[in-house]
Amino acid sequence: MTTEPLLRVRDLCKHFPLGGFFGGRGRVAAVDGLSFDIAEGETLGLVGESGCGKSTTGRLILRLIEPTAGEIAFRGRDLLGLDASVMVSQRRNLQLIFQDPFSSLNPSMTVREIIGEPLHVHHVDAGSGIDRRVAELLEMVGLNARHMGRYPHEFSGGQRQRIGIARALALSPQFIVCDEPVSALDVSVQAQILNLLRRVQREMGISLLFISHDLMAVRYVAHRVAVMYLGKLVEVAPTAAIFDQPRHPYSRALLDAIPAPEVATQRKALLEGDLPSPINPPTGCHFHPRCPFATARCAAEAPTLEDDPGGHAVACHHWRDVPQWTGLSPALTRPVEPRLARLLERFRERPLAEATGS
Amino acid sequence: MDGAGGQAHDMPLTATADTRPLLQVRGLSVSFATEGGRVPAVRHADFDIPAGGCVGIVGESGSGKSVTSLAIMGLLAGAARIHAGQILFEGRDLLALPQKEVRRLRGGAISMIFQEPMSSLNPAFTVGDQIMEAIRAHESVGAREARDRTVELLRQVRIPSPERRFDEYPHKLSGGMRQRAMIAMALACNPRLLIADEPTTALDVTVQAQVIELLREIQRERGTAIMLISHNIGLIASLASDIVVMYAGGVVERGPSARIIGNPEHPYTVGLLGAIPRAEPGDRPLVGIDGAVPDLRHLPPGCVFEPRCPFSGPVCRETAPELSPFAPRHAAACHMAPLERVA
Repeated sequence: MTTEPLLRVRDLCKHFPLGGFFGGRGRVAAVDGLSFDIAEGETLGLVGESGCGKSTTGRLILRLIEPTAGEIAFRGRDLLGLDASVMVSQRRNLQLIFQDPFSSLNPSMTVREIIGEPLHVHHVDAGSGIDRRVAELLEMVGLNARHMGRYPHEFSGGQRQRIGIARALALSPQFIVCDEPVSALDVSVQAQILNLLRRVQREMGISLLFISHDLMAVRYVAHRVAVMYLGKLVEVAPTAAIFDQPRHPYSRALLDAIPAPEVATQRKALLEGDLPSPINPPTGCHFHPRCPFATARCAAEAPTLEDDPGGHAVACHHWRDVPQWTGLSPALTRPVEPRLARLLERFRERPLAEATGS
Repeated sequence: MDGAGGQAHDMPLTATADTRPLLQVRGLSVSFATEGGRVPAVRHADFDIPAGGCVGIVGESGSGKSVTSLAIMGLLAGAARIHAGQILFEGRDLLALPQKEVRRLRGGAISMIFQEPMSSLNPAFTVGDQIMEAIRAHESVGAREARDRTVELLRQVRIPSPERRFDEYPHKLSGGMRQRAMIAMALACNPRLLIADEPTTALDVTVQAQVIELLREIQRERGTAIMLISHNIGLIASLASDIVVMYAGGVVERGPSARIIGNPEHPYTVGLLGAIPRAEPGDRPLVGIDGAVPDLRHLPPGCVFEPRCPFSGPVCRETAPELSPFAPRHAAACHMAPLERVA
């Protein structure tokens, strides 16, 4: 990358103590030496299973929790060196969208107060300007501006997530961490929110760190994808490369595990076993006990993340030697049947009901 | 469309004409008492599960899919009332049977696994003890035999070193292992019907795929019929031969899986299929279904999907559509179907 990235993360680590007398039970490396960049106007998808450290990573970047080691630079400025008051003012550029729209909005505040609060805190548009800005934000996320006097419980889950997005957008941030923003929502509503996030990201040129366990959702919104396993990045690549030619056996396993809407045929080889505990991770490559291609070297020596000129990085000793990946299920890649495509067109043509008043 | 139609012929038709379905749900209506009056949770649900088959129930929150399964299990709590309908298991109406008989069937011939295995396992007893108890509650077998059978069950659900796992407490197991232990317990009395309510939702992606494979094996090898409940139509289609689509408490469409995903006739099913991100070429926006699931206390007078439907006409606002057939075993409740006319 020739230009300075918006966000630069280097060797980021977070170790949590496990408790016990005088911390005697040791530590768990939730995030273990992460390095990545996010360019201006870029969405980076961060994928992994539970306990892999993806949410911790998002919180570390926002300094909601303090890292054990590492560097985070935003526009070249070291965030970790900032004292608390400077960090507060810096935070208007860095926002967060939460997973659960039911617990992340204060039930005793109106939508006007929820979305207006960051404007007050940062002394933006004080006074009557706030209502205008709130109305603009509500319309931007597809909600009726006349509903700004209502309370969160008067909205559906999808509408609440829109409110959360409007709040994150209030200060026109340059970077937003989206932590599993759709996984608490119904399937039909997930699509609305993914469409909204993608539209907002494009129109406003924001950078997103989109954290999710859902690879297809990540594919839909992200320009690049980082795959995480037990605290480490195992593969980082442009989205098309991850989905066409995943290099890490774990990335392949994740792709093979996507349930395809097709009638049961023979399934691909599945990963054996469960995620190991991050408290006591396997030696060498953390993935080796579940990896179908592991050798003695994998148990002994941890691979490093190595980049190629195309920006495709992988941490695997054997990615060049493993057999060709068979590809995503055809049920996911072939165009939809013409009849279904025609029917779906009708859903797309319909204007957003909530924007026009509900 | 042609491709999907072709697949349909290859599929085994599990409900053959000469055998009665294992389970027949007929006109099931369930409501809940709330402060604001009675809320209909399930309205006239109708579907069958063939012996040894797998039927998927797909729906979003408030669709009534879980309430339906609890009604079958006889596990509805005090606020719920079954108003109407029959649940025929091997021809006998579970709703009319004496409590004692229902209790014998539940956990015996019909068993169920839930979304969160940790909350369904007793943390104070070892995994093995709990499975043994399930066996001995329904059959008079000695401790020795019950133990042997338990170890065998743990092995069948692919729990490594089952003799050792027998003596472990649930908290020592990973999420995937716990769900396997739950499945082993559900299989303890050789059920003819296994109800799996979102069995993989709390699990990680790679573990989810393993559990689905395990359910497939159970259905194939033991001939256990499976009622798989999920919000994920892709996951259901990969296992079930038939799909029942529920929305706001009612069955809006049902049919062979290949028909439902290849040739859906209800606009809600169409929208659900469009909402799944796919990897097809191009860069089209996803199809979100505008609006939200209706409030069950204030259902629209006509078709419950009308407020969100891009195909609706005046009749949809006035009369609720009934399930009507469009192909063998394929029925949809939509005034506008077949949708070719309006597309």
